[in-house]
Amino acid sequence: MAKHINAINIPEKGAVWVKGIDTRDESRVWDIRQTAGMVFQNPDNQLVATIVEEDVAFGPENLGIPPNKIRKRVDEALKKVRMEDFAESAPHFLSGGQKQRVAIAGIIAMRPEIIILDEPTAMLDPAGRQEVMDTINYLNKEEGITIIHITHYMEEAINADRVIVMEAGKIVMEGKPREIFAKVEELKALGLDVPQITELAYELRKEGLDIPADILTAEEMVKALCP
Amino acid sequence: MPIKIENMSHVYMEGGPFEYKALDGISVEIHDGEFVGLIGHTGSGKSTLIQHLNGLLKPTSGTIEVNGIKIEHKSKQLKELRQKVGLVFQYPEHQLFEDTVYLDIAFGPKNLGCSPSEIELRVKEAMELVGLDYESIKDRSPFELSGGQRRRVAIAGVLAMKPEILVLDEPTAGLDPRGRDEILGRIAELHRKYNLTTILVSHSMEDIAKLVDRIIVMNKGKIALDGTPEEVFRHAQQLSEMGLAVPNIAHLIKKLREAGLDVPDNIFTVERAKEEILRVLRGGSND
Repeated sequence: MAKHINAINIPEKGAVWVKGIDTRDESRVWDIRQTAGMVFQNPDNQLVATIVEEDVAFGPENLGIPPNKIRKRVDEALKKVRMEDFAESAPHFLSGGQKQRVAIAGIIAMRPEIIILDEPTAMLDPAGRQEVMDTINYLNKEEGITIIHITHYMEEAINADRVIVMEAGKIVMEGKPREIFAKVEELKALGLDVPQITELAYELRKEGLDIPADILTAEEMVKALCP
Repeated sequence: MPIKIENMSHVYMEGGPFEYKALDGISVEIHDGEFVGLIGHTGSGKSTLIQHLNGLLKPTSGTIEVNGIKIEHKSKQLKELRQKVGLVFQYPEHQLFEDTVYLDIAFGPKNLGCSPSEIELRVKEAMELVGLDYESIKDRSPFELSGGQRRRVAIAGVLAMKPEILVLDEPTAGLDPRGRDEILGRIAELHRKYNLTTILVSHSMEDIAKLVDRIIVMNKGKIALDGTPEEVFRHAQQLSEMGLAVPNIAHLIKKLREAGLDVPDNIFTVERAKEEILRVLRGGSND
């Protein structure tokens, strides 16, 4: 589905509109890709240049932005992912989390309104995952960019405004994380997880403990158990 | 004693401008039948270490001994070692290349010189071990299977070599929770049934907490912590300084203890947390 949003795939039936543009309209493909940027799983497959800032400049260059404006966009984008100190580094000396943030900066430099991230943390260590999650939250809350984050880590979905659950090509659930994750049995039947804290709440309730079913965080669990 | 490492160092591009010391005087022993979790942030030396276990890399200094085969800087006899140690790389399904699942899994035993009947037996066994149905899947192309299935084909290819030690580098990365649980379940079963010495490299503290008997933590080319999960996860502060984390449940337990709930501090799985919280709460209400 994600690949339909920036017109990598085109629907066989039905239609996708991104900011009012029909993705079937081939003449508008570049407008769509500029509006909806995409970040993939493996950071090593996304970086093309030998210097961080050149990599970030690649997108705006292809958009035909004048060089002095590219400079400004690159600096801004690197600042937003907190990688400005690495502007002149070589990507292969960076950690996984840093590389992923450079990949995100490359998207931001194209000034998209939507960023789609397809398992951006799957290959990262815990510190790298946290860096990328902080960056995603910042872009959404402070910069107002629409974020679509595809993940297998349920903990990473807790702070989303909305969770969409897909199964066999269909949307099977949709709602706030708290509503979705409270449905422990349904999610497990779909082969999915719930956050571990929510699972613990579910198990404790099964044993007759009177705590809310929709606990998502350690803090909420502490409040429920030690009032 | 399957693995004995003594004062082993590994330096990449020694003497060049990009010289890099990836392992720095490591000494460690891993015993028969142990299930070891190897953790550390990216660049901590984990991958360099496991590539020594089957001779893909040789120590710059120091020695490593695997099931009686000693490897030093100048060792050349590595074939026997590669048979004893099965190494499953990250995203091993990217290495599938044959037309059918059968041929892909048979590739290793064929190269070992096994007879056709022995090869067939090994392929059958290996597929059963990873939970793939022999009759319905053997003639299919690996590329038409799901991600989780492809990964199991790749692991079966390693198991068909009958290794004495199994090393897995992030075997669940990129899999959905069901695929992850299937793979981890199979690995745990292999270890249990055959007492296979198993080394699991993972960034998922939750997976590690559920499975292993012992955790080795790497940091900056050295072993920073080595002990049971209980011992290692007690060092929350130190782990976080090394770019790692404790499992979510360990974090919750710490907060519960701070709030005055008298649960033990050595808990890091949902099952144990449930038991202990119920014990404390019910014990409290009976008093």
